[in-house]
Amino acid sequence: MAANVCGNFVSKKINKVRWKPTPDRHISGSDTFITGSWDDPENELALWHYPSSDDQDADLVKLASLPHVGDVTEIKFINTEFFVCSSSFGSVKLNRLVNAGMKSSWSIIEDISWNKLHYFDSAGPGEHCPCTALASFDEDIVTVGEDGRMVLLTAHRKNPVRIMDGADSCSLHCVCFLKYNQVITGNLRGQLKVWDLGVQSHQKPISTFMLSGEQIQATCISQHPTQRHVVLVGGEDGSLTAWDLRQSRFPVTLLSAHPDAVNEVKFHPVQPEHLFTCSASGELWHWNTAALSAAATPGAHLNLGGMGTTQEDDGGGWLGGEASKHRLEVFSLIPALHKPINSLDVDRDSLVCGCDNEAVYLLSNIPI
Amino acid sequence: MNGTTSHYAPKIFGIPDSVCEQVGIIGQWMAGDKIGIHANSHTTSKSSDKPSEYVNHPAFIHHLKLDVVLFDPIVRKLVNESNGTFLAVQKVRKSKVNQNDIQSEYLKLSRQYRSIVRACLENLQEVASNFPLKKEQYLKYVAIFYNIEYIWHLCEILFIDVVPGKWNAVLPQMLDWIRFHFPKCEQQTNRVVASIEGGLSSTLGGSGGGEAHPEYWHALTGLVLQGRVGEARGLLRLHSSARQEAFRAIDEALRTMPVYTVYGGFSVTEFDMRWRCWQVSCSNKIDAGVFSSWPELDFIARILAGQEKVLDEAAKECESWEQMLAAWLLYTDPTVKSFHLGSHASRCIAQFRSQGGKFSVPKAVDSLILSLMESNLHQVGVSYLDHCPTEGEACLNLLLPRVPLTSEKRALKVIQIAKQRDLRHIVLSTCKVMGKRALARKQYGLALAWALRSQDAGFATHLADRFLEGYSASGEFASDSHSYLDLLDNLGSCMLISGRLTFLGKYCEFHRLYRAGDFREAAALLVSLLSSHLAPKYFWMTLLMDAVPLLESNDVVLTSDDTYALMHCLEELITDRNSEMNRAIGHYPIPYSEDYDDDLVGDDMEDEMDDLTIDTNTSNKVTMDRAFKRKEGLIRLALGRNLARAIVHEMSNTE
Repeated sequence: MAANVCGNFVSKKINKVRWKPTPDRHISGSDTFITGSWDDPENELALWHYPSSDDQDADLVKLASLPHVGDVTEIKFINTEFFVCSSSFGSVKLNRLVNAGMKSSWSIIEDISWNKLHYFDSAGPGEHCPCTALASFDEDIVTVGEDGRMVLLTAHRKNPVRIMDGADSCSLHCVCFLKYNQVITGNLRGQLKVWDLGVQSHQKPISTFMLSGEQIQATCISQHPTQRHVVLVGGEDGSLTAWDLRQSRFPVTLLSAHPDAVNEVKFHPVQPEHLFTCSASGELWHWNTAALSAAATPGAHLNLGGMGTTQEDDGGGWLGGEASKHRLEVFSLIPALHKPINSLDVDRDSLVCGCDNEAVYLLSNIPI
Repeated sequence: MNGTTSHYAPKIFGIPDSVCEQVGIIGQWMAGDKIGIHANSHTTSKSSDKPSEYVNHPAFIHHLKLDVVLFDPIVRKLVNESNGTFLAVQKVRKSKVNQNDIQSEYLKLSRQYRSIVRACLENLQEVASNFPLKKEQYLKYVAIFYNIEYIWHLCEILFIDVVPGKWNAVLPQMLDWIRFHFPKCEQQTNRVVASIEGGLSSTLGGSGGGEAHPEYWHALTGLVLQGRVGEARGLLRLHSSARQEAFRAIDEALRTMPVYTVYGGFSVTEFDMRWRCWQVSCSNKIDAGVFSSWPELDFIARILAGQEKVLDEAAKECESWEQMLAAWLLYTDPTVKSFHLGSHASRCIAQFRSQGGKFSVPKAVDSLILSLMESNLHQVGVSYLDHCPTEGEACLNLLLPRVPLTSEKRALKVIQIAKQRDLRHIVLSTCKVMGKRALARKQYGLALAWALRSQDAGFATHLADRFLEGYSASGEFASDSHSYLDLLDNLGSCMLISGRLTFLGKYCEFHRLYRAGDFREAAALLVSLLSSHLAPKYFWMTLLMDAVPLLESNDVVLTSDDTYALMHCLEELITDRNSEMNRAIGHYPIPYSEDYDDDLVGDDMEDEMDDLTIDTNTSNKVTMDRAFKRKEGLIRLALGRNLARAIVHEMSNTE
């Protein structure tokens, strides 16, 4: 069954969208999400409700909004009511969604504000250092910025836990938790670094590797939900690379996917054989690797206990290298838009994406 | 401000600032569409030279920004949505589908566009009625966008919805257009009908026919003028004398009126004939005096007969000349072709004017589009300019560099837009701006990344020099907070854009090899760096000093040839230095020249750091001289010893 698409113009360029997790995550899907805007004199965080997934013409209802200083560069939910967002002005805020009981009486309340976490040592007047990305693991939050700094926060403390000045001599653009004490960062030059946050004394990454020989910015990083050593990295040139962190000198699989920058890569949280990417070229793609993992498993069946359990097996289909490339199934979920799609989020069979044409698109019944 | 302000009526704004009021102001364009304004008294050569009398007054800078209708939240939806339509049209235009399909595709998009505008109108009206404060402004917007839709609808009829093969017949659609946009007679009819229904229920079986309502005849004439035959007949039947001969006659005339449709099955000539017959029969009835006792019916009958004088008179029933045009065409030239519309239209305009009507043509969308570019909606503007044949690219060239680069994300977007359109100079200048900014903030790593991005060899060389200088001073590739090794160790093939950068990359590699204990390879690399002259002269001394531990290592890692090469370099350095000294002595007192300093940067290392505090030129020079001599001795000794060992080693090996 093809997905239902419902587009809504919201009068703000949307930079991030995130589904609000539901308390009973295993029973029902979410129908509420947060958006963050950018490139506007007055940016805002907004909470939206999508009335019903059956009614195709249903309009979005804006439940609440909160003005935001600077572009919203990232939003991450910590639990069902708290979320963290970062700003192009270098600040990070912990916000809370409060519902006074009725459906329409939601509000967004600022809980903690970490101001100027990212700054230039010698900045010109009115110059701000954007916080470009953040990642969260339970209550731990890692933020990175154009100043090359990495800051470790925790959601219940006003003071940063740890500040790593000069984690990178370049500007950092994406970050992702690998384990509770490990993060991976990507910079403007496409250099990826794995950091151990547990080691307090020295500020050296555990390993460093390059996306490619050219200076291609790493735009987003995503870790496979079950195969923890598999990491996918989106590039400024539209490439998608799969890395095996156990032998991370070179990417295992390199795909030239989109014609323009990959803006977000998201695995389906519970069905990791489904991957979603969106791009500055206005495309929204659905990748299905079910066939790949299936292809690897029967192999194991045939030569029982022999050589069958190859490396393909444990990569969720992504570590097959060149051989498996053409077995990837890729679908375009919506006809290419004319403007960049900046962000997407997926929850069960519903997907939401935000675009520079100031619209939010909701897709229900995506075929998974 | 809003889009309809004409060129001839300047808007005047008062700056709420007492100093500005008294002295006068001066303004300057800032980024985009903003103006910065501050108080400024005009001084000339004749003004007396004394401090301003406003010295202690507070000084303000006021930012003025154009408020364009297109930035209103509701209108923004329209802008973005219709931009999608615009691009879809451009895509269809470029596709190689056959003409018919393209036409229907255009029509679909045109209708889509109109429905977008109508949705926007609806939203605007909603806000206007719900928020009294915004009412006036929003009603103004409604007027603007109503006109846009109105005009576009006509364009659609005239240029897009043309049925190929048929005879360019426009009347049916024109009537639709008029009916849609001028619903006055319909509303009047509704009121008449409502009054009768009301009357029936209150004064049961009363004599009140439709004509009792003051708008009855206006409504009827209006319906006839718009060719709404069915509704007109219905209204006629409501008249209390509807059974009289005159009414029956006019009803009959309306019933038999040939209706022209594109797919009606008649040829033009056939239709024309029927039409003429019908009009003659109408005229006959008028001449026979059928309507003589009912002047209103007589008037309508004459309209049906297409009498020009009467139609001109009917203009006062019309709200606009367009409405009159439709009536005129309907009763004088129903098979009119689109290319004859012009002459009919000008006749109607003239007639309508003479009747005291007025009309205006709203225009000037261009300036709005430009202002679009200037602000945060630049992506929408870009996609519009993309499709402008000649001026588009020129505009982009001017406007893209003016997008404020407040974050790297924004810069990268500008670069992306420029790259897609092959505007290489904009890519380069944007990278340069970002690089220079990083340099100003002392983010050398970032600056180098931008230099590499734009393949800017000069900038890369400059930065490599900075790194080397930093190394000479501190002995490591790092600033207070950053280590640059993550960058320098991973330059890859990028280092090739500049010789200096290549050297820097290789030098880092040398250190890496050395640290890894790979002395033989480290030594080979060092020698090749020196003998290939890739290294800048000011760095030679440092390199030679780096060679000393290799020369003194237990194993012989430098061959005799290598040693000769190094000796040669040392000699060259000394010769250069001597000639420099000679030149300097010639110009007593000794000048402390820039290149002279450059040659010796390598000197102020480790053990000499304390000497650097002596700051007079001469003593400085003396200490440097001493340091140089000491290093020279050290290197010579190491070279000599290694040469001896190497020769012995090589000789014993050959045997």
